[in-house]
Amino acid sequence: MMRRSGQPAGVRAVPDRRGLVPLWTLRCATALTAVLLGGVVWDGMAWDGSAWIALPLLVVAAAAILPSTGLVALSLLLLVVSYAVNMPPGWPWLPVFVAGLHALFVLYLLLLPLPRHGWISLLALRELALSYLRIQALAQPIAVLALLIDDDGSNLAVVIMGVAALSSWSLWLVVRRTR
Amino acid sequence: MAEGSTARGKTAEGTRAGGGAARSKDATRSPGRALALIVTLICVIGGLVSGRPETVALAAPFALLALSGRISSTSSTAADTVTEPSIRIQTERRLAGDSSRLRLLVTPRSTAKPSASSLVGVTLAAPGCPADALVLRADETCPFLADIPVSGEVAVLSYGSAGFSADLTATTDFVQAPPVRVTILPQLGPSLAGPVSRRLSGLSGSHTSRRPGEGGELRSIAPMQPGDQQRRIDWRATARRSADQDRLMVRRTFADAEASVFLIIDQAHDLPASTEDWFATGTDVLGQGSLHVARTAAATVAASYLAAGDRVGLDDLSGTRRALRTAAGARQLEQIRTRLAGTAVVPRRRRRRDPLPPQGAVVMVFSAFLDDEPARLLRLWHAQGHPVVGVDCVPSLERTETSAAQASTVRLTLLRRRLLLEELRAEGITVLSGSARRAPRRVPDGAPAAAPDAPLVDGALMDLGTGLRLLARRAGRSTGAGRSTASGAAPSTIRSNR
Repeated sequence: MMRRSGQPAGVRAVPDRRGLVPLWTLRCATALTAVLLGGVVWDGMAWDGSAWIALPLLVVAAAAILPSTGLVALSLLLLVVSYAVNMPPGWPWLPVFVAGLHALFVLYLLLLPLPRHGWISLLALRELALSYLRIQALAQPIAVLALLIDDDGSNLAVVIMGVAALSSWSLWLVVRRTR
Repeated sequence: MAEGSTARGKTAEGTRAGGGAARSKDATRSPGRALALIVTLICVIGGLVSGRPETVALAAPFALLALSGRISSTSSTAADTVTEPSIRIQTERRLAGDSSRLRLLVTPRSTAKPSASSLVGVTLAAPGCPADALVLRADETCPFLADIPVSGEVAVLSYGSAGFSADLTATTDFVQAPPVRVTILPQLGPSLAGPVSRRLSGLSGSHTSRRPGEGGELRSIAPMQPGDQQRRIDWRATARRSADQDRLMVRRTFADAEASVFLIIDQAHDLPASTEDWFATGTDVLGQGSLHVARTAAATVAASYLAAGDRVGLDDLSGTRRALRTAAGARQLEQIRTRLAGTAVVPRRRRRRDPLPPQGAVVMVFSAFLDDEPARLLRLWHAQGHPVVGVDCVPSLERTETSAAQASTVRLTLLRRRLLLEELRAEGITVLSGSARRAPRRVPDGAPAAAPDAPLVDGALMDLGTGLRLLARRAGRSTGAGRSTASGAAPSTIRSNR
């Protein structure tokens, strides 16, 4: 059979089992997450018909495909700074945004050193998800606490209660892990 | 493990793994931790400056990740240096029904120390392909299918691995492993009838030599002399010739002997079947080129002669290894097949002397005949009295040139080859085709001349089996006459070993 120009000379080795997810699925999921988060934080900006609004979306989506640490850092900073600038205080979706940003960071970091084509096993994904949930178990109460502090401002009792609850929660998690 | 395939690593490649170990001091430095720290700082500073605790809360997961990475890096000591990949790839078996694919198994290395890394990223690269990634849990296995060559020794898969923790903040350095090499022995075709020399020098075998001695073919009946064995007495001849029974007559026979065959492989070129690939930079190592044809043809010829009890030797024109001396037996066949499987493209070096075939050996040169060297040696050995056969190993070509320049180059190359083969034929040297191609057609009178790449007429490029059978039959006919007339023309100096 005639080989087209640009086609690799050899034949790829392919896995011979189930339970593997192509990396392209993961890259698409990462790009989608990034675009969704970007859509949330840049939705508040005035849409004046300019195409420049698509540029940050392109950057965050490209970071899922191109293996560049700089692009990943730029994307994360764009999202964080945009949140700080655009989102109103006491925005109730803060825990969701925190979870999304963390997921995006983990996915970026996973894809960064890997070749473009490949597979990941479901067991490895499960391991990643467990680690993600372990950190979210601490991050989510902090986000809720931040919302409470932001709502009640100078209410000292709420702040003290929140900090105490969070500290005991963290302590319980740490003690549980060390056992 | 598949029959005829082995997998082993080259020790030279292992030094690269040592290079990875030299950098293992930085093994736990991950861009993830640095990124997490940067985002944390930005969030905290931004939140403090703007007075918004929500922005600080954004930093929570990143701060925890940075902390986790810090703990991992401090817990890892110098003893955790990485010197070998955490996984290894074993060859399992050849697929039934699809002999061109090999099943490999990615398994965790049992000798590896348990470490903090719970995931392993494996980078795999088949020859001529970009790298692929495979992310597994550290204790997981994964079978792989890889293409293998039809014959020869090839690295079918290069790989390396890096471990990382589940939160991705701690990673180990990427360590490259020796590639998975497989050796596919050339397949043996159906047994061939081959010519043997008249000057047989062996002392045992299935061929009749011209020397008197122990054998099956009658030479003469003569009066018994001192030294003649009693079992050689021919009582009928004695009764017929010795009327008064005063002398005994014995049967004298020709000695049986084995033939010697010397196979020469020209491994200076490996011409792919697709002419477009002649100009490709990345060669298709798994394809069926002229070297594969040479391996298969040589193995088949060797097996055929060895099955008849003859002695077969092997050498190459590049002078890379010492010649395999002629010997008989099944072990010799395995040695020849192994040596053939190990042949790869090696440019010819200047040799002090040409390969020296054993006395009275049939010499077969397996070459693509792209230059004059194989033809020169064929002429030399032909002049020395050896029965010589050239085996053209260029596979059946697929004309897939993509430009006019490529087409011209291919035409010129094939034209030069054709002229070379015609010269050999004119000098009485038989050249056969080692590949299974279509039977040559005779050009009828008045028909246009054949294209430069067309097969030669008059059986000069007939296939190996037919050509050797024809040579053997022709030699067998001429041997009977040759014994009485002792004529020494080139075609009559060969006879069948069947």
